[in-house]
Amino acid sequence: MPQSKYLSLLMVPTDYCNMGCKYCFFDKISRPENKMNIETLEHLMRITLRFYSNVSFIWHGGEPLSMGLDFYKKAAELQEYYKKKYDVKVSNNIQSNITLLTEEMADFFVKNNFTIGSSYDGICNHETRGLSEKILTGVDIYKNAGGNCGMISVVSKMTVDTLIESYEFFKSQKLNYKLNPYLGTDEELSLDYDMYTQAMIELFNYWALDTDTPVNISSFGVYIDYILLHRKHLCTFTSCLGKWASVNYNGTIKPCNRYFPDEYSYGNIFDYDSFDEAFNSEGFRRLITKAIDRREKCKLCDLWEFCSGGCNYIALNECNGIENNGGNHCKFLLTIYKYIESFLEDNKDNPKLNKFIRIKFEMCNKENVSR
Amino acid sequence: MSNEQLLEIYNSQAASKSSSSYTEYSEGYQEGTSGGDHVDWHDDAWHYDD
Repeated sequence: MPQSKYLSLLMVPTDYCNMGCKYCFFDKISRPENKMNIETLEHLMRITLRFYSNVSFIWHGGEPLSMGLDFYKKAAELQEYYKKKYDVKVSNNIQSNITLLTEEMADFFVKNNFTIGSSYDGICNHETRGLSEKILTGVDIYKNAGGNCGMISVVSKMTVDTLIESYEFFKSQKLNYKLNPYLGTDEELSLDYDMYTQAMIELFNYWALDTDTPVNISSFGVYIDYILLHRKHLCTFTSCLGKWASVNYNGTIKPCNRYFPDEYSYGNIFDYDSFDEAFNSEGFRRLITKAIDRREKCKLCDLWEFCSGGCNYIALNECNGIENNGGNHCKFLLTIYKYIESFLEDNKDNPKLNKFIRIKFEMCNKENVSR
Repeated sequence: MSNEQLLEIYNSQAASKSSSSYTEYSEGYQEGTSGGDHVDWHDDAWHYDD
């Protein structure tokens, strides 16, 4: 199979985590001994870095920092070896709860361009995640080393009516953030999507006209960038298959870090001499066949050109099949996209717009002039 | 049909009229042929200065 130039790997070097967030499925299955060994790490580097021009390693988990600093030093050493021998660009990003970050780790990550993102559920963090002070201390350690990170904030039934209060919290901390909806089925957390849609629209209105806000909410940028600039930059709305995959601590390859049943497994890295061979697997074939079927249905939707059929996991999770569409997330997208599109049209000359939206209008105007 | 042919169909589905127009305005980005450094992961939070 011809190789894509780019490969993004969602790395699960361990499924162990020192926290127990209410919405995480890993805490029911994880064990501290489930860690990627050096042989697995070496084989992964061998079958990726010799064959692609750009490889992005996204270290996730479990809690990736529970692997310890030596693991990442070894990963960086192997990457350097292949970068010198082959014409390959490598990036490293870590999505961590950041509570285990030490000054030594922070120095290494900043010096070696490993960028870190974390998670915090605003004013509800003590209920949904815990270790609030440790998380904010970790952010300070990273900042003191010269880094800077943003936050993921999960919207669930427990947090949906506090989005504006949490926004004020993130402002007080000068932390940019992204809101992700809870996608599981736990009764205590499952969202009423009408309530979620309304809460996100209220937050958008509040943020968009908060003129001097220092905080960007990148969840809204996804829509603004497409409406004003025709730019798409989120995996959810692009063609992820054949370019993204998840690698577990034992080398198992899955489509994504989001949960997919074993029938969609792409095999194990030790089955392959080049990572591209994983895209010849039966699991990949099952998945892409159903994704193609869904996209044919999605072409009839007003939002098709923006969302390109959306996320395979969301379709599997809420539409009972990757080949199906039309679930709650589709309804949410249709409503919020049209709302923001209309808001931008009505407010393009509004002096109260925050700087993040004003910048996008300026870029839009420049591009219209240069065309 | 091979997996390679299926991947071509999948990528071509998104390479519509609109997709070709946004590649025109978006430096370096091409639906169906790139990814990685131009596409963000749904769970990332390290783009602090976007």
